[in-house]
Amino acid sequence: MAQPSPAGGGPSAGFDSASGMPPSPTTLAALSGAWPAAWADPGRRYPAGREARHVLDTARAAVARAWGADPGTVLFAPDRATAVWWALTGHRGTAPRLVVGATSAADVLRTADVLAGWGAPTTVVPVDPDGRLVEADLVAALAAAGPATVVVEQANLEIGTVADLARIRALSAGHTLVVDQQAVAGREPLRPEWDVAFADARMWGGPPGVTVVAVRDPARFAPAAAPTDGHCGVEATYPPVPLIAAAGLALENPDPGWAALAEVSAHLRATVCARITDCAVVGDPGLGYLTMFTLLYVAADELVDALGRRGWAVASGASCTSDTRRPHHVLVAVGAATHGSLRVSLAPGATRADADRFCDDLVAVVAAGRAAAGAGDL
Amino acid sequence: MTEPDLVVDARGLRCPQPVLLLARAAKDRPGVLVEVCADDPAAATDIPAWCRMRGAELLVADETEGRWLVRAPGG
Repeated sequence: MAQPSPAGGGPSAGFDSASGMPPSPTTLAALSGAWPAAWADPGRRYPAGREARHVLDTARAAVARAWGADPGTVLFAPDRATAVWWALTGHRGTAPRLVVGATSAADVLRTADVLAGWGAPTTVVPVDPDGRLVEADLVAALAAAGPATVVVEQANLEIGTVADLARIRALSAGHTLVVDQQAVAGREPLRPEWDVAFADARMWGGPPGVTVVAVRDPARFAPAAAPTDGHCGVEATYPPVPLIAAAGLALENPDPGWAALAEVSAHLRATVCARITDCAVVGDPGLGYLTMFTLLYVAADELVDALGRRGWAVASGASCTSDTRRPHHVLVAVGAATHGSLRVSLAPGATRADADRFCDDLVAVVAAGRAAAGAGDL
Repeated sequence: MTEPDLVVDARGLRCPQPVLLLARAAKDRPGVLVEVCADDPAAATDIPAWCRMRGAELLVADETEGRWLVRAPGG
């Protein structure tokens, strides 16, 4: 499924799939079908309520299958912020001690920061230039007394580095492993090494308002102090069943085009790096659809805007021209040049020809940007 | 204390200006010692990254003072 085309252009807008996907016709049909069928409170005992309960249970079972989880341990949060909160505070028995990877998503790091401010011992584990946790630091962080909640990503959504979850699982035995699967859910196989996993349905073309939280063992981990009837007591008693149904259906019908993108991304990386000087690929992209480039001497925001005028939707990891001027924490963590960072995340349907046309425009835009900055001869 | 051959004062300038001025100072001057002063928060990441990408040697990185000492590639 290609993303919507820009006016007068080809399928070129779909180069920012990491920021979310537009709804597929299947998802739209599921949503408009589920809304009138399952509008009611699934906690009610009259027919409309029972129907909503049935639709919710069906969606929960579909999501549970995708995660290899028991349906009773799959929760639906309304957004990532809530999912992250559940995941980071759900450890049972003791106050949470957090061990968090430095390239974790901003909402994870922010939540960890809040919990640290409340007194939760928190360690941010640094990463190597590829974006992988420094093992010695992880081991040292885990060596402290008491069980920890370890928060990592299966793959990084900014630079595409894939974590060695088998290794992390082995090192963190006895601790709670929380895995952010935002970058892979509905796109690449979900690794089974997690105690808690979460991802937003928008990543696989589901509607907004549904973030899946899968829990392996509710006896050890439940995101509420006292679980009530079912689902750990945190899920809304009147959840958005039509949205959840659409998210479940979208997950059950993944776009088969994701697998083909690894080859297109590899072609894009080789072409861009061959045609543009002072350009590097950040991290060790193992995600098939995503690449973070860093291009010296150009401001990322200007690059993104110039490409936007040519019909390309891409993202940057820097905000040189913004008031905050804070470089992206992932780029800082891996030590990559932050100013000219450009994240290209392909959507299914993107071809080598699209990548070539993008590269043509990127060459022109970078040359113009460098010339304007007085860097044309550097 | 190593004395720089050139000093680039990029204080008050936003990224990518500090790195751009560093590259300008190092251009056609193999082995030259350049001191960069910068206060843009991105400089702490961008200057070491530039050194790695261009094969320059980072001799001093004082993020607190906002001061970096770089030996240009070659020479």
